Amino acid sequence: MDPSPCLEDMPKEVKENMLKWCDYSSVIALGKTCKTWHNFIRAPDHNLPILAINLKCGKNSYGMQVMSTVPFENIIDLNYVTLEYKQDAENNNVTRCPDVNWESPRTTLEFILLKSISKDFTIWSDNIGISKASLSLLYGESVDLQCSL
Amino acid sequence: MAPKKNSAKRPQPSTPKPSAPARIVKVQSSDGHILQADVRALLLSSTLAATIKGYDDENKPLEKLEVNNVVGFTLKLVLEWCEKHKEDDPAIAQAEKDKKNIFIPSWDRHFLTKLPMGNLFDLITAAYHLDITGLINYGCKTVANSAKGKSTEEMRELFGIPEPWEQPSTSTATWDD
Repeated sequence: MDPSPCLEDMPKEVKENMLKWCDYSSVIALGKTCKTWHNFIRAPDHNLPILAINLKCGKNSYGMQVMSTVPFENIIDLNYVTLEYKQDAENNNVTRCPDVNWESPRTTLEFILLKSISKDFTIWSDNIGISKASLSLLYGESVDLQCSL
Repeated sequence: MAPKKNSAKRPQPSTPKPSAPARIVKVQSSDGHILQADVRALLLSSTLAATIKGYDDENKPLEKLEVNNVVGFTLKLVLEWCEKHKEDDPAIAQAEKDKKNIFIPSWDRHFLTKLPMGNLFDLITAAYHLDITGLINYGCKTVANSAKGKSTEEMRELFGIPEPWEQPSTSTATWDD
């Protein structure tokens, strides 16, 4: 056994076990630490602790919120990660505004709002197994949509 | 939202059993350290339990167990944990394996949180190689608890992840690229 293993070098089963106890904000932050963890978390079927994804559609803006549990000792608390997508009406620029400190707002040029949000949604669906039917609802409806898992 | 109490029951220690005379064996680490342990403690490791059963089935005297993938310092920690839990009902650890939340008893919390992160990783990896379910669960949850509320940079520092990773900066990169 290596005398000083790093977290990224731990066996797959150990990483999966650890992810099981992490809230979603921690999972996302961990996925940004290195390529190994990024690829590991992006792989499907890790049973990430996600309770629901809420999509809120408004005029020129969308919000996507991930709810997860925080299993900490004998307390179960809810953890929210929210993303807002705002489209500038004049030039169609889209800005993504996360509510936590793992990313600054980022503006994309000449980018379609629904395309941007659907790409993020596809990543989640790949990770946690939401059916593609839920994604098609996003395109078809302009109402609040909640995908409980 | 106010936190709510988890309804999951805390693991209860098993009913004390009439104490049998301890059967002590030697355990040798990969770097040659020889330690002593009660066989009941070693049975928490599925890997070692299978080896011990093999000796017992053949009525061969068990003088020394060799643990070839764990160094002495870490093996001492493993044996300390197993000694503390040798009276536990093995069904508790198995039941906790699939739970969404577990309670870490205070002795274990103190034992695991006092370790530097590198030693904790060694201990979890050893528990994985020796297949000690309870120690894997408590260790992994301790690591996850330590990550709670940390930023990416703080996690790199805490977990010894060496270099900042250059994330894609193209205009079409998604939020969790």
